[in-house]
Amino acid sequence: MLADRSDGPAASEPRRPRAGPVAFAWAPPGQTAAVLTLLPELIDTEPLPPAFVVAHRAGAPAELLGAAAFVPTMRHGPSPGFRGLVRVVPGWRRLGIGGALVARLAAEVGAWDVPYLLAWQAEPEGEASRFMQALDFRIDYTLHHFLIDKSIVLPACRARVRRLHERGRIPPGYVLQPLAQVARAAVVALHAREFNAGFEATVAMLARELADPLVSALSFALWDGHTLAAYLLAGRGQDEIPEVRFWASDPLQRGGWAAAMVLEAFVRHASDRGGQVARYHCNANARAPLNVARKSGATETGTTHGWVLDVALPTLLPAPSAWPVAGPVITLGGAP
Amino acid sequence: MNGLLVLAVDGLDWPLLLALHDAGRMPNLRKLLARGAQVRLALPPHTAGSAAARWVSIACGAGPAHHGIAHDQVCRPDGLRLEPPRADDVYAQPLWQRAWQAGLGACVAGWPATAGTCIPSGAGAGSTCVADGFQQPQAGVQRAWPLSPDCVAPTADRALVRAARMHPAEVGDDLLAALLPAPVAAAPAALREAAAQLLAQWASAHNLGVHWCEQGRAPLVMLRLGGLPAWRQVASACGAPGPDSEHPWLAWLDLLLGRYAELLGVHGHLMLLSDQGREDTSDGGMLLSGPEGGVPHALAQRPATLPATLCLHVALRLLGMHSVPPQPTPVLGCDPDPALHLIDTLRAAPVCDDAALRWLSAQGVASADLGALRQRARSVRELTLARLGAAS
Repeated sequence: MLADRSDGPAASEPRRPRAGPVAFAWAPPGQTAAVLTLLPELIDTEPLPPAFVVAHRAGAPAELLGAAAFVPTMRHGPSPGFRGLVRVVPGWRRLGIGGALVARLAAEVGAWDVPYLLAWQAEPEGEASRFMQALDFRIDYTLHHFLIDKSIVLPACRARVRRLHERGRIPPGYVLQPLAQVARAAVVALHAREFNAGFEATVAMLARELADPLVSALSFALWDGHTLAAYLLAGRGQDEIPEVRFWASDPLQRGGWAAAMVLEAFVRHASDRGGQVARYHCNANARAPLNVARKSGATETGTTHGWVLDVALPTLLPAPSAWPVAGPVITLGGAP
Repeated sequence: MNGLLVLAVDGLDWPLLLALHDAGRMPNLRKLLARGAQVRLALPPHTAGSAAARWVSIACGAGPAHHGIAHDQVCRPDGLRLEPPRADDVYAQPLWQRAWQAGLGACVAGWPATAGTCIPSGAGAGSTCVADGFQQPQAGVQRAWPLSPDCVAPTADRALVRAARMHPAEVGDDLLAALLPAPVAAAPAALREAAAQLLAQWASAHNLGVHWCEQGRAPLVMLRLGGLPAWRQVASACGAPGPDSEHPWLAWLDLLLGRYAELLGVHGHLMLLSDQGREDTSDGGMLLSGPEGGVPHALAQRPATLPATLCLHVALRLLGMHSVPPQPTPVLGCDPDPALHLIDTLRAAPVCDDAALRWLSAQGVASADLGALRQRARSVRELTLARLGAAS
């Protein structure tokens, strides 16, 4: 997430301080832990960013006004690049600090010969999206978000699977199995192909996610002992509501039957565990799962966009690698 | 080129190499041995588990207690993660630094603990350092292949490095056919992928080496070819254990040696190094080839096994630098494992910048519970230090 104008102070929040000279620099090693309180998404990230760019009040390095970093792991997709994260202290937003941090981040990503800086996560329409749009970010992908009410979706899914059986649409030999019990190499191969993910990153992601008992219990695959027709990897949302994290079918087994069967298994088992709702997110380009979700009675709750910045575009500032230890001082927002 | 080429091959099985030589399957190695000698190398203590520790020891002519690298990973300065060692983690002067200090040119590629290297202004023209990792792509297709800014010194050589390196995705079946122990179509995908990785790694370093030697760019060229131990593991897991899976790679190595011998000419020296063979306990090896009557032939009169740290002194003599004293380096005094000393130091350091934390808390960013935040940072650091401690 890139946040400068987003989540800005509400009217009831303390009055915005008068801006003064702001310095930009690399955070010294002793400050990393404090910077991570500004960027908590990175605490458990592997690897950590090589360095953190911070904005602080000039002459007061401990008075952090914002921080930015990128993770040097390639995200393969339509726009391959590094994911970055920028956040500005709420009372200091709308002063250009976020934009200056993004410019520095983009220059540093470009210094790795990486073409794109990707927003940390997909963002809904709103201040964060407008902030990125103003900085020349463009939409890389769109996600549709659905709420699955099991009392509606489960009967629809069951009816759909029954029809598939009756019409002989399901090839013989495929058995619904817990994802954790299926040959991991086949899952990795399908996931990497469908989501343009790296093999090693996929192996690590599957091991991490399936270690969660809830995720493992709600993740399924259609497997005939040799080939994988489809899989669904569940997830645990921030509010503990189960969600469909990844859902894909083999290109040779398209037509919706495989996707419908693993979705039905997910909804059924989630329902058995007592939850009434679940979430599902689908890339706008994945037409088949999108149609399955819509036809199953899931309620579309909104869309979010993944934003990307072409770092080859001319940037205003030199690469931070060239900075002196105490970076440039820029006066923002008028006199102190 | 009238200089010294050091070719370091990770995990090269020295007895197997010699056995293939004796069987007449390494014609270029035979020619090199005819102009030189080979010895076994005894690696310094506390380096068995780390290729970085072994290669830095060989380059510095000293053990980990002196140069500070005992593991393939070191703690970041903030103590929050482990990372591959960088140039500033090495306390002793490696061979290339000493060459630069003496005003000679030196080109290095693929050696561990070289990221962030600064080439001094007095170094000979053409000096270049390309850190280990330049040749190892992250998984995925080759639509973008990151190269960290501190991987190549000087920066002007980044374009050369980008052009020289080879991505595994570029390796076709025709290239793999000669290097796999089974027909390509019958080989498991994991084995094909591992072969493509190894081929691309070696080719990347070799491309740079050939370019530097052809240009006569510097009197000292040092290349490290990594990846053989990883290949061995995959081959074993795929049911192709044992020397048979390595024969094709050693045959390719022989071709590389032939190419370098040609580029070096009659006056150049070639030093082939192995840090460790098949078993963790086995020694490395050194082959030195050069003009008749020189150091290589004196080496033939020495015992069959020499300390690996002697390689530095042999190289210094070949470069005419044996009388140049090294720059003084700090005494670590933390024998045997510097990592243990580092863990104690980091544990004693404050985990967090409390002034920054108080400021952020006052701004409403951090939780008011500063104790919990400090505890979170402390637990991440403890986890990191525990991993380092386990490796020690």
